[in-house]
Amino acid sequence: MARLNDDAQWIILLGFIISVSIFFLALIVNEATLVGETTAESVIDLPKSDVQDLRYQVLTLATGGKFSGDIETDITRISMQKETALVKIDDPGRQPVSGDSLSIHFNNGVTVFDETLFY
Amino acid sequence: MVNEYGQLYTIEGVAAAFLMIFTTYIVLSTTAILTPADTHVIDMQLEQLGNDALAMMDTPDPAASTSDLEEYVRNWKNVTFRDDLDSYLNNVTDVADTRPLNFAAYINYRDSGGEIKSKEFYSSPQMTGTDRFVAAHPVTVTRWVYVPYDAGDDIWDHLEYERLTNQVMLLEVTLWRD
Repeated sequence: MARLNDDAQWIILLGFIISVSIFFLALIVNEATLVGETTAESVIDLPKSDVQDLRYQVLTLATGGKFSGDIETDITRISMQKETALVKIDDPGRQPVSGDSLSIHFNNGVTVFDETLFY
Repeated sequence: MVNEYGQLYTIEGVAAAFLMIFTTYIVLSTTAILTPADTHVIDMQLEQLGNDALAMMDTPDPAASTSDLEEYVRNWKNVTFRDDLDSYLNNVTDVADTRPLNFAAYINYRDSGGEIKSKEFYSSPQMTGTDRFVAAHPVTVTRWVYVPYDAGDDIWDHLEYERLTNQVMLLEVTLWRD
């Protein structure tokens, strides 16, 4: 009567193991929402399309001979006001062997992008 | 008198209770899914979709020298622009989308005084009422458009204090789901 009854220990052990595994599964599910949020946040933070668009337009205009100081002012001023990004496009100060070059500087406070375009 | 029978059962009981309480806590704290996480994911998808659609419209045909987007802006074809962008954004096969994407477009330019002006290019019918942007979660995407000066183009009739030179304007599209 007063002895510890050690029947069905396997069942108790299995129950214990299963509850521990449920605990870890819950932990994983808990992390999953955070992962979705941080991933989406970092995608939004990176101004990928802004930089691609800027680069594409500058390159297209420059190769077409349409780029001018006036257009640079347009891009700089509008970027500052509408995209809250510092953009500077100018002569890199070193010339390529052939052709021409322009340097692009982009900084929106989160991402800094610098590139020298040769065309 | 205190006896020490059944100690193992007690320890096990306490451990199991802890496990259950912790599991419940974690599960309950997990169920608050529809908060910032969700809106971020939706914002990201909207932004990607909008940028992709504008990039497609801004890519010229191999035979043409200017893109569709540039053509629409230069000749103020806001209805064609609306139809085109709408067909890219709300392109759902077969089923009518019950929650279509709405959008409004603005053109930002530098005027003759050096100030940045914004002019409505297209606005959704939704925006004319008093309940504009209700329950909306707008996302803004932009695209640069080169506008050479040609007195025959319609855009010059729509802007105020515009500079009559070749210039770059920023097309700003605001997207939201009803």
